Formats: sequence, C-alpha cells, structure tokens
Amino acid sequence: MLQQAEILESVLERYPSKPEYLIFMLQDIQADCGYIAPESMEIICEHANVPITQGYSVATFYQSFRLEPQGEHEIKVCLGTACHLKGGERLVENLERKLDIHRGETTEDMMFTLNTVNCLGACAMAPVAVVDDEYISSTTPAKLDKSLKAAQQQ
Amino acid sequence: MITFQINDTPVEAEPGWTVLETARHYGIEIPTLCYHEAVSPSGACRLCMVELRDGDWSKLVASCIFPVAEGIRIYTETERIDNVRRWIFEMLLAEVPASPEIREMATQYGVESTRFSVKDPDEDCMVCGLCTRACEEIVGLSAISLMSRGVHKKVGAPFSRPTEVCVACGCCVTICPTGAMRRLIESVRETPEVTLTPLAV
Amino acid sequence: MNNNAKIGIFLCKCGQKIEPMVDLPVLKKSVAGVDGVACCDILPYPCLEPGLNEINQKIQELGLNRIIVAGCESRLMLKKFEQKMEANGLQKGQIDVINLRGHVAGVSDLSPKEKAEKGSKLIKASVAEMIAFTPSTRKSVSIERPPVVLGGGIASFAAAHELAQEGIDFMLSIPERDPGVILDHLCKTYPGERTHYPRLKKIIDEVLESPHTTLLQPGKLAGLAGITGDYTLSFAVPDAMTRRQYAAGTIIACLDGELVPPGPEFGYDGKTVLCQPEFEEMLYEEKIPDGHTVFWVCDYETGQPENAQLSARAAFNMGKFILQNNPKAGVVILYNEQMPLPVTAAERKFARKMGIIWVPYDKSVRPILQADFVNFGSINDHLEHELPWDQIVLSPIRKMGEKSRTAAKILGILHEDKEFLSTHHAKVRPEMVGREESYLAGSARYACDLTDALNQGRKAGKKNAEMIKKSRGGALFVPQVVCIVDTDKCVACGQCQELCDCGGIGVAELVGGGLPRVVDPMVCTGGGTCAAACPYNALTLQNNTNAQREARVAALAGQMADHEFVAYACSWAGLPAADNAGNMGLKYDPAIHILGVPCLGQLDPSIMARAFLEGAPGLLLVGCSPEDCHHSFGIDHAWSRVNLMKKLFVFCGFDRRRITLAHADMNKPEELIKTMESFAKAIKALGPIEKTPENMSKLQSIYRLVKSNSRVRLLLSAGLRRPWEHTYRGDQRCALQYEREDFISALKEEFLKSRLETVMTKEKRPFNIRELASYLTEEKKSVAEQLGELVSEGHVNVQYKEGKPLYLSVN
Repeated sequence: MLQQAEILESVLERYPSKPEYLIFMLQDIQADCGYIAPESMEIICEHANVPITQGYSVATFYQSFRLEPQGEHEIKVCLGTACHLKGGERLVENLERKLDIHRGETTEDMMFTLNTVNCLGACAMAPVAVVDDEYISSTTPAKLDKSLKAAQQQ
Repeated sequence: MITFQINDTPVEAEPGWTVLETARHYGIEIPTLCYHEAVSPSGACRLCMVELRDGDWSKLVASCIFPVAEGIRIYTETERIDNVRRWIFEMLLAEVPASPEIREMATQYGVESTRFSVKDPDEDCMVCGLCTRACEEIVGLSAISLMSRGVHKKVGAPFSRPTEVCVACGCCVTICPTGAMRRLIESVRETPEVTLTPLAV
Repeated sequence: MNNNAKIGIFLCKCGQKIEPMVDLPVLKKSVAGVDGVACCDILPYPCLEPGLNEINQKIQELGLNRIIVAGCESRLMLKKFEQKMEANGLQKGQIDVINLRGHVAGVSDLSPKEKAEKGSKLIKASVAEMIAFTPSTRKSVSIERPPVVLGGGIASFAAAHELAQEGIDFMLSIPERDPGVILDHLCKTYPGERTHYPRLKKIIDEVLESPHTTLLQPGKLAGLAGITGDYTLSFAVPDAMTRRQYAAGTIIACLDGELVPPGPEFGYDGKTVLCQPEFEEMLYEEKIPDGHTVFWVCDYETGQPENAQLSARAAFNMGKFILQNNPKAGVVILYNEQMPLPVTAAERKFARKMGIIWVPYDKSVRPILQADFVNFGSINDHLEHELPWDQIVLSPIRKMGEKSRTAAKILGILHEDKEFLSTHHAKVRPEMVGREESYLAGSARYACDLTDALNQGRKAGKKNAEMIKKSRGGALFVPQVVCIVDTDKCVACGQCQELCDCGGIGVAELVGGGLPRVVDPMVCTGGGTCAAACPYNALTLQNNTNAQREARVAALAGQMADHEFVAYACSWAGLPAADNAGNMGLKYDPAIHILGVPCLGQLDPSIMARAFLEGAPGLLLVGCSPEDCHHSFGIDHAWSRVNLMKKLFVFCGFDRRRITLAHADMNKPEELIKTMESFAKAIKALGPIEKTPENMSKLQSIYRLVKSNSRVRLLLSAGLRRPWEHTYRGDQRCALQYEREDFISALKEEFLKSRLETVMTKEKRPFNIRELASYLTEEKKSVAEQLGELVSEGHVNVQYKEGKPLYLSVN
C-alpha cells in the first residue's frame, strides 16, 4: 500500500539515519506527494531513529505538513490582518458553500483542498487568494469561480 | 555541598538538586501539578513557582526545574506567590473545568470560580505532558505524544488512532493529575482481537 | 537460609500523603528488628535526589544488597530506583517498592496505628521474599556465529544487503542465484512492480558479490534447534539420507506469500479473464494487449478488502505500462466505491492525461462479466453501466502459501489459525515491541507490496546487525527475568513448549526427541506460566522464582487475622486498577492485602496452597479478562489452577469459594473495589479455616500434592485451556468429559496418596490399613491401593507382622 514508495526510496537513500534529518525527510515527501501517508511516516521515523509519535508531533506542529491526501488543486485564502479587513472570511465561507467542505478539507472528488493561511505577504492586493501557484488580487467570488474552472480544465 | 536559604532557614543541598527537591526534603511543601517524582520535570504548569530574592528585587522561578545555587534566598509563601497560584488556578478552571482533582486543589487555595470564559466545559486534560513522559521514560515506548500546538495542542496517539505500540500498562492513567487520561486511554489502547485459540505449533 | 541478605527498608513520608495517615514510627519499630533487616529509615521523599543520596550512602555504608521502599506505585517508581542504585550494584529483583500510599494510607478509615500494622505485614512479607531471593549473575549474550538469511523470499536480498553494509558476515540461503531468473519470477508474487526492478537488481548483484556473503547450497529447510546465538539449522539434501547442518547466530526468515486467482465465479478462465500475476508475466514478455483492458479490483468480493489498495496500486502500474507502450489501448480500473484511491493528486492528474480511467462501482451491486461487456452499478445515477472489455485482470487472492507455511512451522513461528504470520504478540517488555520485525520479513508475514517487503528485509537486517554488534561489544545482556531449564530435572515432556506463546522454548539439539528443553533468553518474555506448569519443577523464572513468591505469600498469609485475606493482582489489570483506586482516594475494606505479580499465570498452584496452609482464610486472584492477557493465556492457566484448588477443597470439606478468580480492567478502579468488597464479605461470612490437626493435615496434603505430584501437575498442564477452545490438546474429546472421567478420578487417587504421606511423615510409626482408612474416612480398598503405589515409589516401606502389612514412611 505504499503509494509514496518511489519518493520514499530516494529519501531513505539520501539522508543518514539520524534524528536531525527528520524534518528534511518529511519536507521531501510533502513536496512530492502533497501529504505524508501513515506508512511513510513509519518508515521515515524508523530510518531517523525516532519514535513515530515524535514524527507525528513534528508533522502536526507545522502547518506546512499535511497528513491527509490533498486535492489536485490547493486553494489558499489569506486571513491575515489586511485581508481579514477586506473580507477574507466571507471569501472562505463562499468557497465552503460552493465546494461543500469546511476549511482544511478536500472535496470528495479530490479536486480541491481549501486552506486558510495567516499571511501571504501581499497585503496590497488584499483580499488575496492563491489557487495552485496563481495569486489572485482583490479576490471576488466571481474571480474565484473563473480560477477554479480554469484549474479544472487542466 | 551547597548552602542556601528557604524561607529564611538555611538548607544544604548537593549540586544537581532542584529547589523543589530540597524543599521537600526539608518538609516544605510546594504545590505542583505537572511534576511527578518518577519522570523528569518540565516546568509547564508553573504552580511550583517560588520567589527568589536578591537584595531589593525578586524574581519568580519554577522550583521543580530551578537548580540549587550557593546563597540564593527562596521564599515559598509570599503574597506574590499566593497571587500567582490563584491566577494559575483561575486559568486552569477555565481551561480544564471538568477535572474534579483540579477543582479540589483550587478550592484548597481559595479559588472557587474563574473570570475567564470556558471554551469547552468537558475538557479535563491540562496538557501537562506527564503521560507522554511516563510512556517515554518509565515504559520506554513513546506510544503517545503531544500533537499540534498552541490552543490546539493535545495528547494522543499518532493519527488519533489506537496504536499497537501501547501495551495498556496504565502508567499514564496512574500518573495523570487530572483524571483526563482515564478518558483518553480508551482512544489510545487497542482492543484485542477476539481469537481465543492461537496455539503456536 | 539467609542468602546473606542485608535489607535496607526506607519508609516514605510522601508529604502529607502517607505520614499523618500511617504511623511511621510505629511501623519502623515493627519492621526494624526483623531478621535480615540491616536498617530502617524514615525519609521525606526517598524518590527525590536528597532521599536517593541517603539511600545510596546507606548501601555503601552497610553493604546493603536488598532495598525495600514503602512508598507509592511500584509500576511508576521502580525504574527510577533501579536506575539510581545500579551504580551500587543493585539489580532487578533486589529492589522492591511497596505501595504504602495507594494500598494502605488513603484507602480505608483505619487508625494510623492500624494502618502501620497493615503496612508492617506487607513489608515483612517483602522481607521474607528478599531473604529467599538469590539474584542470578548478569549474563551477557555473545553472538559470534553468523546470522543466516533464509526462506527464499525477495526480502532476503534487502536483509542481506543491510547486513553486508554493516560489515557483518552472514549466510544466505536462496533457491535461485541468477538475478535474471529471480526477477522473472517476481511477477508471481509482486505483480506491477517493474519500476523497482533496476534497483532490486543492483541490490541482488551487490549481495552476491559481497565478501560478507556465504551462499548456502540450495536445499529445503528441515529443522531448527537452539537459542539466539547458538542455532543449528539443518537442510535436506536431495536424494540423500543425510542433512546438511549449519551453525547460526541469528535467523532472519524472509518468506513470501502466494497469489492465486479467484474462482470461476469471477469468470476466471486464464485466457481472457486473467489474474494479476500472469498478466504481469505477459506484459513482461512484451505481449502488450490491444483493445480494452479492465482491471477489476475485486478484493472486497473475494473477502480480502484489506488488500484492495495493494491490488489497485499494482493495477495502476500495469495500466501505466500498457499505455506507455500502446497509447491507443484502453485502460480502466474498476474498483469498489469503499476503497480510497491509493494515488496521490499528482498521479491522478497524470493518470487522466495518460488515459487511465478510475471507475468506482456501487458496493451493493457486484460487477458481472458477460461477453464483451462488464456490468456494474454506478454510484452517481444508479444505472447499470457497461464497460467494454477485451481483457479482464482480476485481483489475486493472497495467501501464505504451502512453502512458507512449512518453513514457518519448522521455525516455530506458525500460528495454526491465522492466514499470515504476523501476530499480536504478548507485549511485555518495551524491547519486545517490534521484535517480530527482526526475524521475519516478506509477504507471508502480511500481504504487502515489493517495497514494503524490501523495507521489512532491510529493517530485519538492521536490527540483527545492531544486536550482533552490541553483543560482540559485550553490551548485550540477557534480561534478568527469564526462564531457565534444569536439564537434570527435565524429562522432555514438552508441556512448557506447548504452553509458551512467546516461542522462547525449543529443543536443545536436533537429533530425535526425548531431549531436554532449552529456553532462549532473548526470546523469553518472562511470563512464567511454563515454570508454574512444569510437572517436574524443572523450570525456574530467574529473579522472580516460585521460592521467592512462596516465601512472600507464606509470610503474609501467616500474619492474616481471621477476616483478612491476600489478593494477587496482575500488573496489567488488577494492580493498576488498585493503584488508580488509591490515587483517586477511593476506599475499600482494609481486610484486603494486595500483592502485585506480573501475570497470574506465574502463580504455581503451590503458592495458592501455601497461602491457605499458613492460615489465610481466602485468596483472591485479580487478573485481566481472557483476551486482554499480555502474557497470552496466563489468566486462563490461572483459571485451571484455581479450579484444581477448588476441587481439592471439596475433597477436604472446605468451602470452594475461599479461592476465587476475578477480572479487572486497569481503567475501572471502581469495579475492582466492587470485586474486592464482594469477596471480603464472602470471606467474612465464611470465617477462617479452623486450625484443627485434621484440617492442617488436609492443607498440608494439598500443598504437597500440587507442589510435587508430577502426575497431577502433568494432567493439569495438559488441560490448561478453557473448555470452549477448539485446540484441546491430547485426544479431541469433550473438556467436561475429560474433567469428569480422567482428571477428577486421578486427582482423588493422588490426593489420597498425599494425605497418606502427610499423616505418615508426621507420625513416624508403622500404620496399618484399617487405622489409616478410618482416620481419613476412606475405603480400605482405595487406601490399600495407594499404599501400594507409595511402596512402589519408594516413599513407604512395608513390613509384615502376623501376616498383616504395616506401613512406615521412609522420610
């Protein structure tokens, strides 16, 4: 059941068996697969000589590590100060309704994952949303619709 | 041999001892919650705070982790300490309203209610980490750990699923100061499969 | 015999938690003068640095070699004490922690003096055990011999590779040495894994070329004997009567499972409806199919839903391969809607681009194959859709396979009622968790893919390398609490081996049977039920012996008042529950005196008998519920022994309820209190067993019987299962029948014999049959029979006076 088998192999070969390399290994898997599967966590922790609970603690501590399969497209809506004032929350609610999921979740067809972030550093463009790598400035529900449709066509 | 004072009484200690250990050895009681003799101290709950005075100024230190030092003056029952303890209990009553042990302890220190809003009236875990330290240091298995951070920090097994690493020894349940582990252990230990007959041939 | 025990007792004040509630000075006075006690001190906190300092000073000053701390929970504190006193030479077993706080101080309303008295009883019992205890010398394990990797599974190479990298010389037993052939055959056990073949080939090559590798001649595994560090393996030589033997240090079994096609009810015909392994073979031979290939992931329907993702993944890989070579082909993967897709987001995108279509079907409408089309129920519109097909590839059914089964049986790791080899072993010591991974790898262990199997192999290799390096550096020690066989007493009946679930007992040598058993100390989990069952008392659980336990219970039982009793609580259920009850401030009848024991299965019936012999009115045993037992069936074994005692009580006219088994959950202390209160009430109502000479003689007989009568012990250990279990050893007959017909009648005979012995050794004079029969209120015929047995056993001499036989005990 190791769907992350190939990347795991290269990770294990690249990093020595030491606890210091735990985060690097987790980052590599995260970058390649979008999330860290339970089996991968076990293998990485075993390779790094740390108990699984420690790997899990580290992965849950940082926002950038995900433990569940992500959708093909990630939508990040900024809820930082500027974006919050400019209605970021409403954008999130709108997406939640449209996609029928809560923030942090993935749609059933595994197409979209909706996440909120604390700041994207693009406050001049508030409210900001990012679909995959595309930054949308002065986001509106209509712009989001267009962007999601374009993503689905890919 | 290190000589210092607790409550104006001279006490003797060896290097490496903590203020709390020394105080207890001399029969001076300091309240604690996240401290247990069987595991290493963490200084998380801050209930063991004592005042360290140096001339005119003083600072608060966590006695469970503060190492003894020559000539320091420690005070365990001052107005400031009293205040600190009451604040801590008020915060605990808001964070962990469902623990009878905390409520009882708070009453002993004169705290019956809290001015802070209660987020979850059923919460009984104060995230002191004693259970995780017990599993790591006494049992050696690290079946549970602290996950997430900030207000979402909680105790559990990886992926919040029962884990076969847990051997259900109950050390975490025994060491838990609030009784929360009695509830949490059920989502950590695995219920064994009912087989009844394996016979190694 | 004192064993030179110099005991130091340290009483803990524990802030306000013990001191005012238990009168410590009175307690000190009570225990300080006991024989063997070198010192008794009251400390504020023995467990903190200041206290530990004082204890260590006393150890050095007085040469103490046993420490008793009367403080709090042994389960929590013992490790710290052991760690802090290790430097002074104290080891496991030499330190005892008595829970004065949780079992005495807060759990009843007795006065401080009365609580001190209760504490004193517990401490004196511990002193008795400490005196009876002879610590074993710490042994180190040296694994000089090479590890052997065998079994023929593909994981062998990963394990071997790891060993080679760690610089360890090893032996490798593989059926095939040509990498090409090996990879060719791999599709049969791991379909759809072609992308890993180049890396695998590299590993195989490196292993075959490594100077650390010793390739054994191919052959079938025929036998295994020995213990860790000292194994002897034998392989059958084809066409020869002899066997090849090798000496090995450790064993890594790499066993692969078997993949078989589903039955004809799935349409399987081997031509157009194929199974994954043969399809993979076809692809491997460059026969890329045209037209539509439908991979039906039918694991839910074949009864192996846990393997669905495995099959789906393989299907995905094969589908990719088809489309890479024949972009016009059609590939559909038809899967049960319950299965989460085992592909990442990137792979889903890629699949769509390539043209692999994932089609979920309604779980309640099973797909049906027809000519040219396969029907399935859509989960979107509930219409029955049809997929065109030219080839159907079904998921395989995964099994262990005969070859692996045979090998596993020889290696002693087979569990008859499980499909695969992985088990939930008794997890007792933390180092036992994950032990299986160090000796077993491959898809016979559990159904897995190639990477998983290789990872298992690598892990096994790594763990073995670690263990071997540690041992060769002199740092690998035998755990203190393991069983050991006295080969002079062992008659090789094999009961212990049958009972042991940790696989730690084997035969010393390979040749034939009738040879003593040997315990592998690196495998033994210290359960001790084997020692309690051995009919000839040939097994000893070191540092936790029967003699120790007997001394303790004798001392405690001897101090019991008429309504007080002893309760044995196992450290996985009863003891944690009792500790937690103490912590929670719950109260219960102070008549109860709790003794902790790792597993009730360790309790030899002689322990139970001794408790009553010394005057305990009742004995309660609180353990886990049957499926929870951490030592695997220890509680069931305890059940059988308790029932033996009950039967003997009936013979003697004592109430059966005086000894009772109970079950507890470590997280339900309130229920434990109910258990203890209920028993306390019953015992109070019964009162003590009157200490008449006749009763004492009866109790002595029971003790003598269960301790040293080999016939009874053998019958008991042969029946140490609960009656509903299928694998009832011996004849496959009804357990109740066995009990009624064989067991009880044998028990009656042997008990009578024991009673005769007791009477005759007490009064050293000749007896005639009539007076013995009348004293024991038994039939003369039975008495005569048993006297005859005693004579033939050499315990009794017979003389004839005026034609009538007179019997005199030899002892």
